[in-house]
Amino acid sequence: MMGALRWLAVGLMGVALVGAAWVLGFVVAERTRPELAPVPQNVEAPEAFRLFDEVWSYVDREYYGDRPAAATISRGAARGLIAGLDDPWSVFLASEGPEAELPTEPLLMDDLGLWVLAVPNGARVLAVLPDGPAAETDLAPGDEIVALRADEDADDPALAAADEAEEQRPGHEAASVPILAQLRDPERTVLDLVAVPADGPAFGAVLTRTARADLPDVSASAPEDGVALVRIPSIDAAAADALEAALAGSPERAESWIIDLRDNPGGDPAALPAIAGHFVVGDLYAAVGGEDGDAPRMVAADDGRSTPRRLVVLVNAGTVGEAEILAAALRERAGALLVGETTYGRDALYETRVLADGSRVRLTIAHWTTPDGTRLTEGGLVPDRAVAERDAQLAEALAAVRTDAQAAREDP
Amino acid sequence: MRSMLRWTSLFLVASLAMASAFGSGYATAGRLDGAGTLDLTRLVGSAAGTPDAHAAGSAPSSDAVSAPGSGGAAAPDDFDVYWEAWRAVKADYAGELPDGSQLTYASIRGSLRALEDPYTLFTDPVVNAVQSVELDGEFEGIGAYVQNDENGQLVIQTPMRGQPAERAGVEAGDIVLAVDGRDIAGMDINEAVLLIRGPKGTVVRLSIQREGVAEPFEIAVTRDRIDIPSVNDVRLLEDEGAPTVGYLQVTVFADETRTELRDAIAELREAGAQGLVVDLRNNPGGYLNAAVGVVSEFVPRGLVTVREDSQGRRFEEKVEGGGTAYDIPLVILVNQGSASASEIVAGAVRDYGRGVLVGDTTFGKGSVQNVHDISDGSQLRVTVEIWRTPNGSLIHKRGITPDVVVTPVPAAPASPSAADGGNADDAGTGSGPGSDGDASEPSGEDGASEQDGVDGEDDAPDAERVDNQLERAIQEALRLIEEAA
Repeated sequence: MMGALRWLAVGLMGVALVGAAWVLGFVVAERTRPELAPVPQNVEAPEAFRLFDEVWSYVDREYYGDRPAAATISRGAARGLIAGLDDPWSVFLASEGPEAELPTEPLLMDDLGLWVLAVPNGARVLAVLPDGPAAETDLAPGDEIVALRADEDADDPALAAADEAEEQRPGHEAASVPILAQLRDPERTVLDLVAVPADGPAFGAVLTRTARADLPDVSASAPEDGVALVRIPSIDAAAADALEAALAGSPERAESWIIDLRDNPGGDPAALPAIAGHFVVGDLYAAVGGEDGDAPRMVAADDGRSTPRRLVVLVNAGTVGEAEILAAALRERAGALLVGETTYGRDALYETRVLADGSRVRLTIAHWTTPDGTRLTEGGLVPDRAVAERDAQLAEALAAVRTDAQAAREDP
Repeated sequence: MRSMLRWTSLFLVASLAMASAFGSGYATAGRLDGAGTLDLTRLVGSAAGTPDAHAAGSAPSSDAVSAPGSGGAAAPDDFDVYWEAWRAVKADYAGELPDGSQLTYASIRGSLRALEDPYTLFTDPVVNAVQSVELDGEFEGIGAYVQNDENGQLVIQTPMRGQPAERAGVEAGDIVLAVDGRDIAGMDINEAVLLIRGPKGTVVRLSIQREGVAEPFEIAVTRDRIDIPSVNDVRLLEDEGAPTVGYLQVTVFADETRTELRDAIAELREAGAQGLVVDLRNNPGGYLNAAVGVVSEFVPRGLVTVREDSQGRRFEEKVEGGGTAYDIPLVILVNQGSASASEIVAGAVRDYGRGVLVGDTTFGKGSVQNVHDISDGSQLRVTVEIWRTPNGSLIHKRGITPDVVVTPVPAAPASPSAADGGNADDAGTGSGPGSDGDASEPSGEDGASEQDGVDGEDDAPDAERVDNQLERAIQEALRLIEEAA
């Protein structure tokens, strides 16, 4: 009897302890529940994202194929978001897959004779280099390369077999390789591409890859006595350094300068003050912020190492962005004469952000105006002397500095 | 010694019991929370996937926010990249943000693209409102096919025969400048179409610019109910020298397709048709039921198709019976624009030996989508199944190779960029690649084979164009008629 009672007591105590443990567990769980990811600031979106939720609830429930990892979906949504801005200069490049290898900055493809930029639908042509394969086609700055037609790869039996294996599941189409990655692929020697100009119907172009050409580099030469010709092929830190080195020699003494900014896709605005400082003193451009209308921020050239001189600037449709800033500032602040074609017309200033997972967003964060406050709203800078033919452009520039110099001599 | 052992084991058992009680209490807390905040659809969703309700929805207030990355085992953190991009856009983007929900729609489209399935598609409300009428087979408007020209202007491609636009004097090639006085320059084609449409009996004023007429002028059109037939161009092929062969074109698989088909066959038989050419070229598909209905007209019994879902479950679609054309010699015309429901029909006809397939290899879309209306008026299509022909062949990406392969004479395709047709989708937006592009008002296929021949734009090539596929189909039909006799 006693034994039974004792066991009962032990049992009850056990139940009580176990119960207490359960309650304790429950409470601990409640207390230690991780804080919810708060709705991020600046997101006025619960309504909109109910929609997102609604859509994905159907996919979760019904979709035939496998559901990708959440991070992949997240990147897809981010890509869609940026594409949805419908902004010609903003793009999302994922940290995974072939996009991870793509530059957000202008890319020189010297074996095709092109400067291109990654954009959501493919690759945009910024400049077409003279004498390169692209110069023989109809490709022009501003065209977007939206497709590469299948080449001999299509008949590759190995690829066909892989295709066959994939076709069991519709959710497993081969991931499409970005156009820019295909353009870079050295295996593809003949590129049969489809391009869409800013206005007008799509057209085809066939490029045959050549051996890598010499990279266009900063150069300084003296085509005539007293004339210095400086070629600046891009605006970035390397170009700034190269310019410094190139100008260390004699051309500094030249009385007339021709600065060649043709086929210059721009690049990094941070490199502008140093480059511009060789030719101009003072204001360079103003950056005007986004919707909230940040006050314009005037950027000046580095302290001028040269006094302003007679200047002619060569420009064409491949003179883009930062190169246009430089040309405009030289015209407004150093009295430069612009010779060539109307420039590209990029008034956006963009910046590349690296996100937590390594994905990158190139985002338009401001636009620029000239020192006098002019903005390129429609089209590019119109040259003072319009010369369409490339060879004639340099000749015109030389003629301009000669008459200029002559005028100077006659009027001492 | 013995009691020591006993106490130790008792202690162990007790600790174990308490630990498991603790754990169970902990787990219960999580589960209660999940169930409390998930709505039914989400519950079903996550139950079918990873049964991790805790991760799925731990927060009443942020359910919507964590949701995109949350269905299943994913931690909410996984969606950070999106939020980071979103914050950057909100804080620093210097351009003008698109109106309303456009960014959400773009984000949803982007997220769905992660599935890498071109048929799981999101359509925003405006585009959806325009496109959905096609499968309903009717709407209220003026009855004209429209498209954008290269300058982005809205052009009347073809007024539908006998419909209000034609009766009011609207002609092919007319450019619509304004609708009820509202300038539509630069407007999205779908929005413009919605302006033109309206309730039966109301009047819409179109400002028209016509070639050869100096000044723009106005035409008032009284809107009416417009029926879009899915069976077209029903005729005996007398002009082609085969008066015993009936021809009909099925442009889309819609609600009324089986009835229309049956009426057309009856009409052709009455006129003396002993054989039939059914033209499914450029038919992008439509409802599965309609495909079953069409097959049921020709095949007395058996399977039409077998669907398979992601769990490997199989669903058999059987012939409905009650067909009226089990015996008539049959040729089906297909090409690479024949997709989805067209391929179901072609596959069944081939597998049962019911007819001869003539033309090109078909598009190769062997999946089935469910169509969901989303609460704000947009629409989602989700690939839910793949299908096989009655004999078990898969169609996806392979297409169906006809019994008699006839490559069209090169002049045929009107739109070079759409020729490889990335996106012939099952509801037949009918206009090439791209999800929101140039889908015109209920567009059938445009250009080349417009049935009523009013299409003014390509009359030059039309004159000399030879439909060698149709010619071959006629030969086959005549042969079958002879064999049957």
